[in-house]
Amino acid sequence: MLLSNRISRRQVLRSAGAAVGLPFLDAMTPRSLAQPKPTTRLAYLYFPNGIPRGTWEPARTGPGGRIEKLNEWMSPLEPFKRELVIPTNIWTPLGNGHVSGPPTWLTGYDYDRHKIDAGGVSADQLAARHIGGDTLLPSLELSLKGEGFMSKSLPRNHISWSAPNRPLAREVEPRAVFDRMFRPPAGGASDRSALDMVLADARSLRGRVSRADQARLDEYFESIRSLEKRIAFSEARAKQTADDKALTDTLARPSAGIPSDHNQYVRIMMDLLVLAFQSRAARVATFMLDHGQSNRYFNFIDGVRGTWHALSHYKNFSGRTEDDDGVTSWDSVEQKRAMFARVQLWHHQQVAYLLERMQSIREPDGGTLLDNAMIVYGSALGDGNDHDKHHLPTLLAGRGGGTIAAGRLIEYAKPMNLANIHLALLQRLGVPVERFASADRPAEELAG
Amino acid sequence: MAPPATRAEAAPGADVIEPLLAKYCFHCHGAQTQQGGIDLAKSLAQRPLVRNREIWRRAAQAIEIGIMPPDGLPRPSAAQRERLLAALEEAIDRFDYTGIDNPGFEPLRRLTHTEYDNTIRDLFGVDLGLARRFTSEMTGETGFENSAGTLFLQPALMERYIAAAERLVEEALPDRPADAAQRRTLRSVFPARLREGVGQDEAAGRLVRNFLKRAFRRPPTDVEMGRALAKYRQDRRAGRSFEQAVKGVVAAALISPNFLFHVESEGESERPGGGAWRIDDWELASRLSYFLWASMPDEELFDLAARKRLHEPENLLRQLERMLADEKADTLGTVFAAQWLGFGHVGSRVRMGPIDFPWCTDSLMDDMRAESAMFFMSLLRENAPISRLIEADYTFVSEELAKKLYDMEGVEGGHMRRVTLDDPNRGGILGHAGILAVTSNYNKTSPIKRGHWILDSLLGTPPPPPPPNAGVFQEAVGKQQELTFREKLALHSDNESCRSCHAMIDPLGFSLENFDYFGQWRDDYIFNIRIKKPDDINVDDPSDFRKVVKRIDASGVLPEDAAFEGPAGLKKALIEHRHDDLARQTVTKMLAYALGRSLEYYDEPAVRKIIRALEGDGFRFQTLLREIVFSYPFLYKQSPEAGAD
Repeated sequence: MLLSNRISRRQVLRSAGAAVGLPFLDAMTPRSLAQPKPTTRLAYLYFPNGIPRGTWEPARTGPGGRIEKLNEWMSPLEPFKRELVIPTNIWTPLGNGHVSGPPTWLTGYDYDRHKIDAGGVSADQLAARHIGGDTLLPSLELSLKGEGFMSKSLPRNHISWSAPNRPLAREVEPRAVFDRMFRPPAGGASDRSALDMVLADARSLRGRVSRADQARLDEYFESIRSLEKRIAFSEARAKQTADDKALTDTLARPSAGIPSDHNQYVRIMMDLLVLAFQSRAARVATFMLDHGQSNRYFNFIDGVRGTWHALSHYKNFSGRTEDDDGVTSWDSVEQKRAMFARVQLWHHQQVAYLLERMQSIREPDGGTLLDNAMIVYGSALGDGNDHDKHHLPTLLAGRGGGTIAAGRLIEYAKPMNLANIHLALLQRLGVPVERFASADRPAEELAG
Repeated sequence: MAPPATRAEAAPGADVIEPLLAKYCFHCHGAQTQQGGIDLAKSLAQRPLVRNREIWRRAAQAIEIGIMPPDGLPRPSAAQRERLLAALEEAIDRFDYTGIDNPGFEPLRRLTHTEYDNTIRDLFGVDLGLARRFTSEMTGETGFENSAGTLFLQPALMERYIAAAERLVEEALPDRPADAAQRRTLRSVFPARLREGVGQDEAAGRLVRNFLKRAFRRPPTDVEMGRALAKYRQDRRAGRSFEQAVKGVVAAALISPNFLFHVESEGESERPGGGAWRIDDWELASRLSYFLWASMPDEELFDLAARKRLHEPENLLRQLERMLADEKADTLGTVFAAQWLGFGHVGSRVRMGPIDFPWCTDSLMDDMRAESAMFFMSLLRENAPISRLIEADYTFVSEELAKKLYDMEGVEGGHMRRVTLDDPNRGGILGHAGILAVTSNYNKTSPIKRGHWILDSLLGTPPPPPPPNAGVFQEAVGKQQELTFREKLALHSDNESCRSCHAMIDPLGFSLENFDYFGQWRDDYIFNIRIKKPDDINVDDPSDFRKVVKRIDASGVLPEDAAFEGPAGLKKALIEHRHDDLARQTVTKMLAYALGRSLEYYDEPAVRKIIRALEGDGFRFQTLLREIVFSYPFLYKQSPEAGAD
């Protein structure tokens, strides 16, 4: 049933984006209505397993590192080369790899596999804490549903942490994402009198339990508060949308379940990310394109066979190592490496789709949504075969509301801590931070 | 760590440990950098050192085996190493626990998704499987989903709880019941006896009190009752019917923290100056029922709790026996054992592609899980010794499981039934298809995974993790393609630091090699070496492959130098040489599950007490259950120490 309406649904979502336009945007929140100025959006797109060495750097650059031509493996992003910053020699000095990589990619600390401790709050959650109060959802955590081994592993599945020991649940189902943004709670357990009753219950409970438990109850209060906020936003929004016939006709709810076509799945999630940014349901988002050691098959790409993780170990082509599925084998290192790079290229195509959508959307200030965004796209592994902790593939898209000089390669002579980039981006969002995790300075080179 | 005699003479204590760690370890594992998240300087400052038992155990192991400090960095001399290990052993393994008196603290935690569904089932008499749409559960440091450390309650989950409460009221409590099930569900909230002879408002009071007691697993306080009835009256004023207004309270109660969390109040210590307190009988009823049933207490437990008599030893014992006999106790197999031993992953994480492996049906995988779960329950209900987990002369099969994987004749029908085994290799958990499948790679066995599973999951003695730069096998070409895994491993174990660990792990796994990746018996390895390029191969055409047959060598050896042969030999060797580890691991795992938290050093006296009781009683499973239920940490509780972590 998902495949049968493949095109129509995407078109609907697309046209929803277009139709939503200004009236909807302005109706979003009482505050944004009062101050319709452009606001910067921040998104982190994580992918696992690293890349084949040498497939990230541009083919040709001009003076000042201006990107003139991307390499063949990055070709899907060629139309956006002026919107990109590609920093080289990036690393995370404390944690990386399949397991520790995801939880430390955005926290800038180390992850001990033996206890749940990501060291600190992730950059996206710091941002959500400071600017998330103005939006329906403080932040949006998206992921693709894992397949096979390790899909329930906690560290491999979480890049967003609201506290060192508290990862955020990810949304994997398109309909659930849509509902959180556009469907108000349906009454009953969520009406005012019910919330009053349970909040009072929680407050009395707070007085009865040990101090150690009081902190845990705060999670409950936070959840209810975010719900109340959602209801308040929803009411304002429902009133506005009801008056907007064009909008009510076009906002389509995705089907339930996980699309079986992976291409379709990724694009619907990208559409929802754009919708969230465009409608300002959220200004901060993370999207895991898979868990940290993805064993997903990409056989649907022409000429590719085997799982993503197996392909990342491209120097073993026998198909007989512990990482292999026992069915797939390859002819040579070159062949397998090319397949690995094809998988990467396929992901670049999805990112290009996202950038294209964002570029097509006009903001009230006359620029595009992409102009006002900062998209970090990368991995916590360098060369996948070697589990390289250096040269982490990292790419920035968008101009951060004019604070980023895009279209450049930034070559760092010495290894550059990814946390420095996080810090620089947080400051661009207006988050009042001087320090962040292991960062020693903000990466001011982004300004040009 | 079995110490050579010389170690005992070395001077123990921090004066030995600190300078050596500072010289060789702190550079990477100290205040400045914490490679792998390990900060030995911080751990050293926390006394007694047993507080960080696990970290020190891993550190000692890495030092002993020689993988730390890593190649290329300064290493301690042999004498220094011995002194350090001896001092650590003195501080950790020989720590004197007699002064430790702390039952620990079970933190507030929400229901797991399984507990949520079971609790709804027992509250309303209907199984809606609402938790299927909840955000996915992760497993934490104890390996169990009920571990307090991973039971997060994020806004996204709260929204699911609300949707579930709304759906439940809508579907299970409709205004006009359409069938017998809905009538029964309605009766669970609106029992007729509470409405007889009283007006609507008084009836509402009784119904709400009755429901809140069951939903909160204790009587509601006056304040809570007042709030619930205020909501009821508000809804009535807004024009809702009597039933709708009561249902409104029901829906709200289902998102109350009193329902969603395991709540235990701060108690009062019997001793002057504070300290441990005994949990009250309502809390005890919940601990018992969530341990044994993964669900809420029933009327009999509530009744004993109301009379404050549940904690009396004879009552507690009788309830334990009654609850174990109840089929709800099957969750000890389907939840506890499944998560401990890992067979719960069959059918989800472990499954074969349906196109290439049409024999691997959902029903087969259901039966594989059921086999191990039912077997585990038989051990509990028949009061078997713990060793029977490994060695038994029976198992549970369906026709499909018997025929497809066990080459067993004469089993007919889809239901699971007990069968006696005459094959000494098959009986016990090590011969179960589910266990053999979760310890294999996709469609081939992994002796390393199986060996690691035995050491880590079954015995609780995990080998150290591979060093950061552990390699993988280099490309197999030409004749090497015909090598067995054992032969290849032998070729590549020229590295001392690899060999020392793999000598512990691999022989255990090799002895199970006669079981293939889904547990079917085989005598030979059959290699189909492709003789064309992959794209030109027709997988259905045997002439595209060259077949090589090799006899399986299933000999193994324990680190204690005990040699054995095949699965039957492995089982005997484990029971003879590793029974203590097996017993301790079973105790540790079950106690951690019962408490819903990871065990700490101060739980060690309770663990030892349970082990002593088991020793006096032939290591019987019911002795284990009884000792856990009567243990200090199960009955008592104490606030976390001030300043602790």
